[in-house]
Amino acid sequence: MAAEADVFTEKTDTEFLFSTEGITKKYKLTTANDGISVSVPRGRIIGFVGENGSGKTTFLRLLTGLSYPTSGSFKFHTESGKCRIGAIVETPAYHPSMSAEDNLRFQAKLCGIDESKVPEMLKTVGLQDTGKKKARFFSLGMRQRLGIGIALLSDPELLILDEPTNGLDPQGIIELREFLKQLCRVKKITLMISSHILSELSLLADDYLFIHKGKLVKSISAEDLFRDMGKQIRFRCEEDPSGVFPGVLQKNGEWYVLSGPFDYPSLLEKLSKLGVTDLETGTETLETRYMSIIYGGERA
Amino acid sequence: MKRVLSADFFEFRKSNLFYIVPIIAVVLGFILPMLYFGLFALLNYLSGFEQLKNNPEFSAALSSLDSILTVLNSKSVFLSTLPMSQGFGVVIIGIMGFKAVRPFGTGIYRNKIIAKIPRGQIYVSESVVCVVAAEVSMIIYTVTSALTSLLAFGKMEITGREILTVCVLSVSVYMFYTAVAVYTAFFSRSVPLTLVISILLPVLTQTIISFVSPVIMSAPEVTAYIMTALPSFQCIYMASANAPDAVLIIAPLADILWTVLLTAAGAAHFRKKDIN
Repeated sequence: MAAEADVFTEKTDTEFLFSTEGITKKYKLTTANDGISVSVPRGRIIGFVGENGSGKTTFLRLLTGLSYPTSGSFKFHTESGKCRIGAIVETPAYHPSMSAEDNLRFQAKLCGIDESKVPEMLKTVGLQDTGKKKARFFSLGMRQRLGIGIALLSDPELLILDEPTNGLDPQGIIELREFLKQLCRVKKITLMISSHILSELSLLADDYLFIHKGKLVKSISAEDLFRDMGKQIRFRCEEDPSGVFPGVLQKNGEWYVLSGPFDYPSLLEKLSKLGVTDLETGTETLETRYMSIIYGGERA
Repeated sequence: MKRVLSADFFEFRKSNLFYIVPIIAVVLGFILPMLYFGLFALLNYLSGFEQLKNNPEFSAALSSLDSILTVLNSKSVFLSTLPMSQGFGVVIIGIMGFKAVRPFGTGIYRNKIIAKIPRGQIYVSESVVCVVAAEVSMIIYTVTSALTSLLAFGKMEITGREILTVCVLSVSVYMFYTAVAVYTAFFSRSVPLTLVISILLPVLTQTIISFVSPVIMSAPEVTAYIMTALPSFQCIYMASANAPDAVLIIAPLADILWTVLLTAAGAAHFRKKDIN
């Protein structure tokens, strides 16, 4: 697996918001991030995909300055070389004993922002009617929105959301997704969103970064990713099919999986020789694509 | 720095602690002298029994009760409620430790770092807010304790010099122990550990000092002055409201130095560490 990759190699430096060079984070017993080099384009929604413990949150912590890399560096392609970042890493951070308005006022004071922006932000995140209700009594969805409001108050160029749909009900997930889509469209901010719920991510992201065991294994635009995702055939058979389909066959329990495109006459002929007992057809999903990228030996 | 301080004071003003801390100060400032008053009333009642006085078995005990009664007055009661280890001191230091460690759990320090506030400023600002809160609550407690002692025991004969001693040493000792609590909070990032250390440290150090103080007091003067640099030792002067002039200069200077060193060490440690 390659550790080095760019989301859009054809872009110029000014079109990227930031680049990383060999970011590595080692703990006593593990290496959470292993030489991650990537360039992230501006104004896009980046889906950061990886299983639990793959190093997504560690990378986001390093990016936000919460942790320090063992080696490697970040470079922000802005005039000042710095970047305004808003982030929710793991759980939204807020004062539980303060109202939504006071939480935002606190953040405004902290960032030196005019407090007159607070009512507008409350409206943006749909918390304008919460009054003096303390944040500890908010629902999970409201807390998530409060966290996003706090993150957005400083007018960030980069918004980082780590597993933002965790704990949300289906209605909350839909609302959050629509909110984020609209936000990115209107404010033109770069959104980096990590998740292991791929079906959810596939409805939002413009580009994907796949991370596995601390290494960046693929960076690809949604367009390219979905173009690659073709038909699939799953089958069970009496004979061993590996000789008939050398190198292209995946095994999932008793089922064998073939990914398209297919030359159907030739395929049917081959299958008929194998004594196929069950056969299903379908379209490859982001989940299967992910499994194929992570475990199927694909390279960036 | 001004922005962080302004935000942190705003946060404290909006938090429950803003109301809880003064209430605790008033309640303890009232209760502790009243406990002494209850003891005083009981001893007074017992010493009134003429039959007991004539009984040889009780007369010795009653004469010692009389001697206690003679020293129990508004001034002695007020002064005995002042040392850090006497109730309020450890409570407020524990609360300030909790105040400093809680943002690790709520993620507020995380938010500040993401907002690009330098870590040194985060540490110093938290320390300043905690010290100010501890000092203000100490003043509320001291005034309440003085008024309660006055009301319960009557006129208090205390000189301006004694008030100055109490004020200087209280402000200086509370500042130091609050800095210890904040340091512990940032170092351990654990609520239980911060509470245990913040509360036990003043109690333990003052207990040890109270055992060794007679030896120190009888040692050459210079030894006593050196020991004055220890905040726990300053509490002994605080309890008697009687300290040489040099102590009133050495003690606050030493405590400021300790506090600055602790804050610098804490901020340096916080700068290096990863935040979860």
